[in-house]
Amino acid sequence: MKKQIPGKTDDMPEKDLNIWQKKLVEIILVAWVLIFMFFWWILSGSPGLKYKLVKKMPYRSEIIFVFKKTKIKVWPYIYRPYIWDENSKKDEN
Amino acid sequence: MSMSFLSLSTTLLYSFACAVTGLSVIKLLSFENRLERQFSIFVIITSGFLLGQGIFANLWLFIGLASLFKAAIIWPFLIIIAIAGSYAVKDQFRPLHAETENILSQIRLLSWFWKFLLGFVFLLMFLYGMGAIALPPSGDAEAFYMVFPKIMAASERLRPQPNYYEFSQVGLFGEMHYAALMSIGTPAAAKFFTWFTSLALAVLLLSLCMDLGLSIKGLIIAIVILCTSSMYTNHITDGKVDIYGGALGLAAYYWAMQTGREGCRILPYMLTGIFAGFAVVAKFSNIPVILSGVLLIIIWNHVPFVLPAAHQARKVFIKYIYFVAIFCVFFSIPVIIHLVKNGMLFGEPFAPFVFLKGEGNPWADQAWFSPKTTRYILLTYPIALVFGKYPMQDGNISALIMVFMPFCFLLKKPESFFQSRLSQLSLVAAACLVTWMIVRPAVISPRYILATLVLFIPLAARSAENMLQISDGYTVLKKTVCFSLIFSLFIFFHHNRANAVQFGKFCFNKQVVCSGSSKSCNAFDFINKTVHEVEGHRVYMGGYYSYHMRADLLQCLPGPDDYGGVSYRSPKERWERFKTSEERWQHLFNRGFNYLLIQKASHKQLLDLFNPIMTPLWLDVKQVFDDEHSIIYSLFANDPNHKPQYICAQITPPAWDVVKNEMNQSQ
Repeated sequence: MKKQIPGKTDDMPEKDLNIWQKKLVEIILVAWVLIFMFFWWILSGSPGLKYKLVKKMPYRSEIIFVFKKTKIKVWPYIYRPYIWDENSKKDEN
Repeated sequence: MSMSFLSLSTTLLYSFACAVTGLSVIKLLSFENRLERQFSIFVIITSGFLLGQGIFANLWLFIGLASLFKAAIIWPFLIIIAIAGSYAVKDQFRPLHAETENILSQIRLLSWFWKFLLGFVFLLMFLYGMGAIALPPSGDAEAFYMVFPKIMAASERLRPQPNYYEFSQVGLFGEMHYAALMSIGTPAAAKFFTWFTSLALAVLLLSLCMDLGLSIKGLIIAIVILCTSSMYTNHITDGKVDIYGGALGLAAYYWAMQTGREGCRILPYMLTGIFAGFAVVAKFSNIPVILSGVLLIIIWNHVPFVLPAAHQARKVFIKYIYFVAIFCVFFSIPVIIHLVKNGMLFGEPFAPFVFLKGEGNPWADQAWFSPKTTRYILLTYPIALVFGKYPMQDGNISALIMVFMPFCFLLKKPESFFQSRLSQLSLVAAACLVTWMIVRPAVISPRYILATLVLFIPLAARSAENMLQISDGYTVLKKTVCFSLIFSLFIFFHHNRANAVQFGKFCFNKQVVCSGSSKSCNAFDFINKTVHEVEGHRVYMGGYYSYHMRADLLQCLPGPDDYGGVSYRSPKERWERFKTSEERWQHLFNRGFNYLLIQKASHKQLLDLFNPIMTPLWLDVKQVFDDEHSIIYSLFANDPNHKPQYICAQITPPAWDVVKNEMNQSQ
């Protein structure tokens, strides 16, 4: 294993891109960062905003956007029921 | 005020004793080597602290098994070891001043933005510390992780927790520290210790990043990512023990990365082995990931990138076997102690994985979701780790990891991909994550593999750091990255700002009973006030969360004997063998229970099985408490000829046991 020199990484910064490629990369990456931050913010209970934008429904595969009194059901997202919950529903049936 | 400071000083002394004990052992293991010349003093102290934790945890285990777990033994031991240890390792603290000064000088050179960011991180860490002290345990900590230590501290012995009899087969690590600190201090002191352990994890991450060549800005980005990973932050304050497994696992990874370094000899192999052993005992879920991860790193570090000559190949192979053998010897020490504990308590050393006496309950073989949902989870990795809110997931990795990861494409390829330490660590992390997805596809819980997921942080931090270092262009992107760092800290500050209020109340003794606790606490408050200690009554608890119950009552909770020797059944199965409600009430009474407490959220089926109107004629059943979350019935015989067959009694004080009622037998 190559010995690491403290304070120096074994990679070199920056790739040689022309100005248009750089702009394109920048737009894509800015959009990437903002989309992730936005989702993180709303799923964290939209801190800083009076209204919670997302209401997570326990044991149900849906997320509901709530703004003032308007509720919009959103695509099931990555929230799924619990196996024990599923099994208990089967028992009931 | 005095009570709170007593708590904090107890934890400080305990942490100091852990650190000096571990440092003394590291000094012994390193022979004549001057460790501080090869490694950062912060790494040495942190490793000493974690090693000391391992030594103490196993010591408390044996003392507990011998029923000698008394404050009168723990206190003198701690004081003596703190004094003797500090004398033995006083030289090792010398470089601390110089290294601290070096770091401070680097921080002074930073712009106001980075200083602000660092200040924000410190503020957040203090808020987590305040939460650790002032917030009551929550979630699983209320069911087991802080209940087991509470019982151990009160009874001065180590025995399985009655209502989690088989689950007590888990490796006990954090629980042992909790028990010791509850015995000599308070539950707040015990929880505060987790904060110190979380700091140890943070120091190890920073050391790993420094080792990979990240600059001070990269280190700040790494710590921001860690402090905004709820898989880490949630468990600093809730009383669970995932942080211990995470810190030990990261220590194992750190020392594995040091193997093969010039002049290090065998110490990294020893420390990798022992930390990996402690990590798998502290958290069973570490077994597939840590074990494969550290072995992969060690093998990688010894792969000869230039093929040796034929006559040297044998030598290289023997050397390799020698190092792996050292690793295995040290790895087996904590594992063997754990097997001894399970052998003594359950007669099954390898439980819950292999049972020597026929059929046991392999409770560790869990599937949380149906095959359909599991497939969905696997397809959404790694997004599921960032945004997933599955039941029992209990925390995510920071979204900043996903945010910064694409920036790695802006890094220039290293001279040799396989010799780059950053790519080595990141590939090992990816391999371990895939291993976890194969071994436990239906268990999505980042806290279970905390140390392994933390290994992704250096690459994300390095990528972000590199992007910010690019001399021209990307101005908007750089500002967006800076914004994302501040904003992510704001999200976590917003969620934890109330910790300061709770801490203020704690300091001035303004916390009322059940303040900040889960909703089940009120029922326990009622029980604690109603049942007198001398009477030896038992409380049958239909529910999982029992932390707030008095310690003497906890010791007499329902166990396997109350269900004919089998403990791991659903509430419905346990009682269906009795045909009528009368029979069930009678059985409860015969087993010495005078109260039935049902937590409605999880055990509402019991309300159908125990009808308070359909009782034996000689038994008075009254509903004595009812709120939104719990209901309590009392059951007392109206005929003096009816006595319970069992009662809760203090046979070997201060412990309480369920014993046969002699008054009943004499009749």
